[in-house]
Amino acid sequence: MAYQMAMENDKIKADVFEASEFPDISMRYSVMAVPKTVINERTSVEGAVPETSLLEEIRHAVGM
Amino acid sequence: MVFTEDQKREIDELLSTSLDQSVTVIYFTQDEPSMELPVQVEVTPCEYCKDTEDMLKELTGISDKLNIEVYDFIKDKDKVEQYEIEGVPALALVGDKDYGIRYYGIPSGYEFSALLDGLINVSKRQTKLSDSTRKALADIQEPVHIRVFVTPT
Repeated sequence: MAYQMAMENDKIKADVFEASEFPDISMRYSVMAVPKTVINERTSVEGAVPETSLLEEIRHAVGM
Repeated sequence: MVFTEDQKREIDELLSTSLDQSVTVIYFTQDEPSMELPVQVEVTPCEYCKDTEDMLKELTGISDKLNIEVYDFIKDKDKVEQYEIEGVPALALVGDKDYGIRYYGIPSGYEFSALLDGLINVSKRQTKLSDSTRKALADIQEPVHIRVFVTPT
């Protein structure tokens, strides 16, 4: 889902991390449970995020 | 051999009916630490780099529309910078342009399906998102960096 969002706008980047292989990065973003989605270092959501919710989180993160 | 003949056939069947234009998997790996490195350079060994590379090479070998380029995280600094790679193993899915799609780790289990899905979308140069979502995304002017943390299941 995040990948598709990235395809729609060049300003959007989407990284998926296998959390156990990247403990340092996971710790930096306080990953306690997966899946966890972090947007622009600020907004974060735990659990699966449906399309409309992810869009709202992105809009929220950029102040829209 | 990473995939069994049956798995290969299954992947081939899916890809041959779904792929459209070409996709390049830009893969970042890391060589085993060599003795030539100065002692002060601390290199974390990459446990899954070799397995990921073998898997991606076999996968991209299944279809003519899939290509792979392999770079080293330590040596190919310009590529690491260009694709803003934060660790290894890492891969980027690139079509006519870089869509900003990265996967860090070995794509196994559910994440393998997500990788196939990503390859198919990039190959088609289009997503399955609704018209209203696509319109709303197009309006975003500021940079957005989404990081999704997962574990293989």
